Amino acid sequence: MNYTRQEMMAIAAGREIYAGEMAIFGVGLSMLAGHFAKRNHAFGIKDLTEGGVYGATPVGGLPWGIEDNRISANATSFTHCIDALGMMVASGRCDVGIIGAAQIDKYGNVNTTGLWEEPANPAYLPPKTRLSGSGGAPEITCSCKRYIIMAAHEKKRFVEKVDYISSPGYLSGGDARARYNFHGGGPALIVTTLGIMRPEPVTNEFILTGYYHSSSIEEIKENTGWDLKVAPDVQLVPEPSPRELENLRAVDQTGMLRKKG
Amino acid sequence: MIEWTGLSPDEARQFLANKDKSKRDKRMSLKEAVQKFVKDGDNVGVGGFVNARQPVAIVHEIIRQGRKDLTLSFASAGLGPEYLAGAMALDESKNSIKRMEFAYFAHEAFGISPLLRYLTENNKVELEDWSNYDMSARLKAGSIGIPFIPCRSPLGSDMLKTNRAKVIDCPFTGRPIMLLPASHPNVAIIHVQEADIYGNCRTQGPMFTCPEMSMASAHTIITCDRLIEHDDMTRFPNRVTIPFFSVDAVIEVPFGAFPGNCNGLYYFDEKHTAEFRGACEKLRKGDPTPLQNYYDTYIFGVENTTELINKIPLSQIQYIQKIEPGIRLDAGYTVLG
Repeated sequence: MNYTRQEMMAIAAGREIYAGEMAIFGVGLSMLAGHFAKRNHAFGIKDLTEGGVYGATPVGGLPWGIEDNRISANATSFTHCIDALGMMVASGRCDVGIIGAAQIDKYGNVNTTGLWEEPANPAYLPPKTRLSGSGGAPEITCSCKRYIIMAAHEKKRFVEKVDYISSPGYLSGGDARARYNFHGGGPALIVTTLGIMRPEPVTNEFILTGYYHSSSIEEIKENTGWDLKVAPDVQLVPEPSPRELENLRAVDQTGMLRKKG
Repeated sequence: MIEWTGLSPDEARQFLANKDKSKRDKRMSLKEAVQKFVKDGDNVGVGGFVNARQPVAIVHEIIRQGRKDLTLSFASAGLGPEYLAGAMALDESKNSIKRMEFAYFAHEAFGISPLLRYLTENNKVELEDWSNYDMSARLKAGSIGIPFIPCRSPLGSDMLKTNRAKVIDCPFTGRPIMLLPASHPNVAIIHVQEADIYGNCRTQGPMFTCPEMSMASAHTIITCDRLIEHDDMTRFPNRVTIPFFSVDAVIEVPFGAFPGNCNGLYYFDEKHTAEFRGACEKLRKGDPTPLQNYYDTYIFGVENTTELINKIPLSQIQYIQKIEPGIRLDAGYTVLG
């Protein structure tokens, strides 16, 4: 079957979204995976965006932004940012979110703020590369019951320790999150262009639990910046079914995921 | 005590108590509005969300007049701060941003902000990192006259090293909680689809943080795609998201959010946004000429947004109107003559 690694990633992430859930998606990959799920199997999903759109399905192509009319033309309701992220997410209502990441570490902490050459006290030095900033991802990582991180699998992206924690995952591992009284349980899984990682119970270090037909355990280990452990029951993730691909491509009208492998 | 940017909570309440709340005709030229309400050193609240309803026309006028040492406050924005950053990158003696308090400054699917990179990597601007919810909550606190607002996210993050939040044990639950200082910009700059002459605004699509921002700020400048009759506005009071008494100036500026998206009216001009962003990226990489040309053509070379739009091919304008899905300005209005 002919599909790209990006499509495999979107389908693998979408499979983790279930019918009837309240879900929050960001723009791009996250929205494609979420709306693929909504169309394919997660019927009755209650989805929202942080800009304040509740219950919409993209029309006219993939939106350039999570606030534009391609994702709000057929909404159930509109609200304020503070209500979307507050009443729906910070309140504890939201079941699941999907976020992206520029840098991810082995405890699932996400950096979307900037890259520094030296990790020490980064906040007070100009970054080597300044990134967008956190947006609404911190609310998702602190307050959604669980969330999925999606990212292209590259060594420079998957690091031992992120330069800056924009959106807290399991922090320093173990039960470090517990002290903050978050509603959210933390990152449930990381889905990449090469495979799937889940937290090891107790340490909460991410370990490899799934690889694709298009990748291998060796390739994944080589492209991960920490010494990635492999789960004893690591699985070969099923390939996209024709129906899954059809549904994904119906959502990915502009072919964003088919551009490169 | 912290150092307040913009107004302190006490100053803001004092100011708002004395503010003229009369229901008067607030139409004026954009030039006059910017002259009157945007000063050097001000904390400017940038309305919209990422590139939807960005107050591009107001920002262009600020750039033409030149303002220095601005602090920008917003949750998520793209074009507004990018244009100001570009003006600063081209001539710091005329326009400059001193500080930004924000969650996200980029262009979503178009890519990250070249000039946020340029300014921060060259240490030209002070940043205070927050999340979207944090910034919205800070403005909410400002709008209701409380000095801080408690919030959980993002406890445990490195943002706490750059921002003025304080973590305390909640006096009621005993659990850690983060306190965010209220935000009171000196002036909010907001673009909406429809307004009346008194400043009542009807927005299409999500409200973002515009109502809170307007209510938290000392002054608000509104540009609108259409000025409509007051009676039509108040036939649908639920749709009035910003009430007149927080507004100081109303200016009808069709395409005032161009090349960004204005929900229900026009979609992104993908070509123009990419052209502008591309010129910004070239400046970051050391070649300021394309950006200088862009500013000379579209900002300094014109008096206002109408003249800017005249430089865009009509076919492109028709296209962004055509592809904007779901025109649902269904509340109805008579355009003000």
